[in-house]
Amino acid sequence: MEKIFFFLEPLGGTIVLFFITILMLVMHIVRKNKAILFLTKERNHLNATINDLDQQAKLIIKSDMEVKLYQQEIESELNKLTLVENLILSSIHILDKDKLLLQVDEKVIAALDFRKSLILDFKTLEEKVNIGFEAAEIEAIKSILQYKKDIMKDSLIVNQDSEIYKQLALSSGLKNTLIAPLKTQEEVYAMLIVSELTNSAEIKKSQREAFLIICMYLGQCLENIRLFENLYVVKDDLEKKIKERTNELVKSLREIEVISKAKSDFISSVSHELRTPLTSVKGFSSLLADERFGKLPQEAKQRLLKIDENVNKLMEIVNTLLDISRIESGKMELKISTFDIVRLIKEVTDFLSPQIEEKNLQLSVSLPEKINVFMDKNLIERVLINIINNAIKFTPEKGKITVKCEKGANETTVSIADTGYGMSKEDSGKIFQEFFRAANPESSKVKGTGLGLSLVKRIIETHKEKIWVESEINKGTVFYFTLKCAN
Amino acid sequence: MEKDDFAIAFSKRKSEEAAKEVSLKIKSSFSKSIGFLFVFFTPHYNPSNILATLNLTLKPEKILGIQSPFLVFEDTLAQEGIVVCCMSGQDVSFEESFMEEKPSKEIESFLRLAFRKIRKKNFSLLSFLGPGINPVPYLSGLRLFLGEIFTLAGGGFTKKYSSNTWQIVNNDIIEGAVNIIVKGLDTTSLSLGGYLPLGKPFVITKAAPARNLVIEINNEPAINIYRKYLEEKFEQFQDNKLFSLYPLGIKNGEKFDVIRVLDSLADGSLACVGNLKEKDTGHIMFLDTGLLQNQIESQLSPLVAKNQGLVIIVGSLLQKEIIKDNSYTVVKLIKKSLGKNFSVIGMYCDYSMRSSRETNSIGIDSGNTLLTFWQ
Repeated sequence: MEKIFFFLEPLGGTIVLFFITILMLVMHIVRKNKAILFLTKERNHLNATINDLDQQAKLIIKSDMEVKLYQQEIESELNKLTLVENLILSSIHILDKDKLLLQVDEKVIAALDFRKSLILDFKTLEEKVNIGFEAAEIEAIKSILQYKKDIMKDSLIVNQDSEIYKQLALSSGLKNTLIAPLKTQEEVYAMLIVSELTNSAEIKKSQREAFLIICMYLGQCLENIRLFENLYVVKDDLEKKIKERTNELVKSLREIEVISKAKSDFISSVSHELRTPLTSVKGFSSLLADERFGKLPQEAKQRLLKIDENVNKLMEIVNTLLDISRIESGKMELKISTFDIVRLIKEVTDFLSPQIEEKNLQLSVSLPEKINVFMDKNLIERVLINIINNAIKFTPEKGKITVKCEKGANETTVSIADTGYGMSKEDSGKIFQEFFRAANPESSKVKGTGLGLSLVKRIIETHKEKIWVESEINKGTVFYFTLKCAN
Repeated sequence: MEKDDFAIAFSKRKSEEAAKEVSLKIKSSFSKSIGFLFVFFTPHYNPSNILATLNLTLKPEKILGIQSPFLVFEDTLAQEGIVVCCMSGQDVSFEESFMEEKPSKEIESFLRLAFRKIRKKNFSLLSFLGPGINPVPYLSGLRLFLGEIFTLAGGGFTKKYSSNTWQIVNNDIIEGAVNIIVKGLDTTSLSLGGYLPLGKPFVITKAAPARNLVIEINNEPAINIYRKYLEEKFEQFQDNKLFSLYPLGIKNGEKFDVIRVLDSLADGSLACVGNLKEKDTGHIMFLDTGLLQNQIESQLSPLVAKNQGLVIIVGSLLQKEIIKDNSYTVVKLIKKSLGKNFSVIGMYCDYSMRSSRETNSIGIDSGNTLLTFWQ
């Protein structure tokens, strides 16, 4: 046993060592595997994170790109709008074509990103505006464009592929050029040429569009100026004609005034001249009719009375004419004072009551107790006498005359209505004219001078008040006039 | 460089008036003789008039003029105007060379001639290329003849922004490439981008750097990188040619070189501007204005206390296209961060050329704004 043990002892140690080694190796391998698993897990985690970051990068780039595209679009539109706005602000009040074209200045051209611009008159190819083009370049442009005018008429802008640009580049070395007509509704007025970019090597779409907008705007402005000029010419013409007619009317009015004054003066002087002999005739005819120079035969006396009556009428006409002429010439003195119109109406109606009763007319008065008005008492008395007299004369027997007086806020209205013959509307408009008699067969039988209402109207107008009439044939007439209230 | 060793001026008047105004401003503020005159001008101005006026009034020994669609003057970004910077010739030398537009294979011979006499130490090179010059063979030529250990700053255009892209070199007006070798001035540069890398990294599996083409990305046609991220919006993206909004960023150490994608070709390749080669890794880049502003403040503010001098900005037209009106804010912020100690002028280009001390290399970047400090 001891020998076996002695033999096995070194071997046992080795085996133990061996197993320990194996165990340690296994443990090491297990640890390593664990580490590998851990690292693999970490690596996968990292990969997942990187993939996540990659996905986020996609999101960032995609959304950033969208935002930048919108920004670009907005910027481009904003630049165009700003350019047009600035041009509009500088040109909106301009009504001269040459001044308008001068608004296409260095700033506008620079905003379009060009260095040179030229505006030529379409018909004459005369230079309107030149910024930066040299004489030789202008000659080259003119020599090419003078044969290509048809293209301008038909298009808004000369196409990029057009031969014109190639010819220009060959003959004058001009690069990156745009040409467009400036058109009104009726014609091509001018051509705008821009050349030599300052901010890019090729003409971009946005630059072309901005250039086209400018040209169209200028065309519209030119059209507005054309319309304004036409309107101005028409207005000028009209004004001249109005001025001429006004001058003619003023001349006619002056002539009428002269004639009217001459007429008034004539009436006044004739009336004065007539008055004296008439007064004399009246005096002697009255004396003779009164048989102061001895008794007269009845027939002679009747004839003298007739003469006396007619002289009275003549005197009345002459006096009325004198009054009218005095009023017209401003020589009649107006004595305005405060008076009770109601009282005056009562006085006049009392004064005329014999004539009213003689014709069997019914007089109706509707008057308040008292109304104080501003008036010349004597003149208004004459007005009332004239109108009421007319009512008596032109109302047949058993008719009615109504006199009213109504007080308003500032004025009093007096009305005298009758149930007389009346007159047509046409005649109502002329009734206040001198010597006018209404064309009613019944009223034409009534005697009168046709001057009474003319005088009445002048008296009322001198008071700066109104008088008017309403009438219907065979139904009667109403005369109204106003007077300013005193309180 | 002391503050009285240089002067800057700006005018946005029309035509010849602008050149006259800047001349008067320089005359009134700079009393020394002018050894060198920079002029940046927008396409609104005739370079002949500018040259004639500046020569007549300021009589500089040398003039370099670059046309650009946008200019920087202090805190202003201008769409129209002339910016002028004059320097005295004391202790500083300028050596200029230029060439008209040439095919790529002739660029090398030009560079050989231009730099054959130069001592390849302690100089800075300013380079400006017109749209007719391919920058890739140009940089290859520079590497060949000058090595990679020099300070390079400059910019160039891949396309025309007006009918002509003029450059003025002394009495010549050309369209091509201009170089100025500057000795005696310490120049450093700094890039500001504000770009964030998006999504998974990709690998350029096939490219033609000499032709500025990325042919395959992740073994697929290069265009698919955009198709993958845009999915259903891809067609709209392609129709509107929005590649420039999402440039590619190629890893360069800790930073990214931004590559502008100009267009896609029928075979799915992408025409680009920038440093690219096969096996480069990169991401689609997204410009965050907030990040850009933070970068400006964090990188420029520490410079203010100790330094002074002139800063020439080569702005990125790509960056401007993406952030639009925020560009004006960015320029203001740059000036504000730099403070009164620095005078700031600049212009915008399609790409900038610069050297990197960290990687000891020269390269092109289309998306970052390059600031060169002249002290």
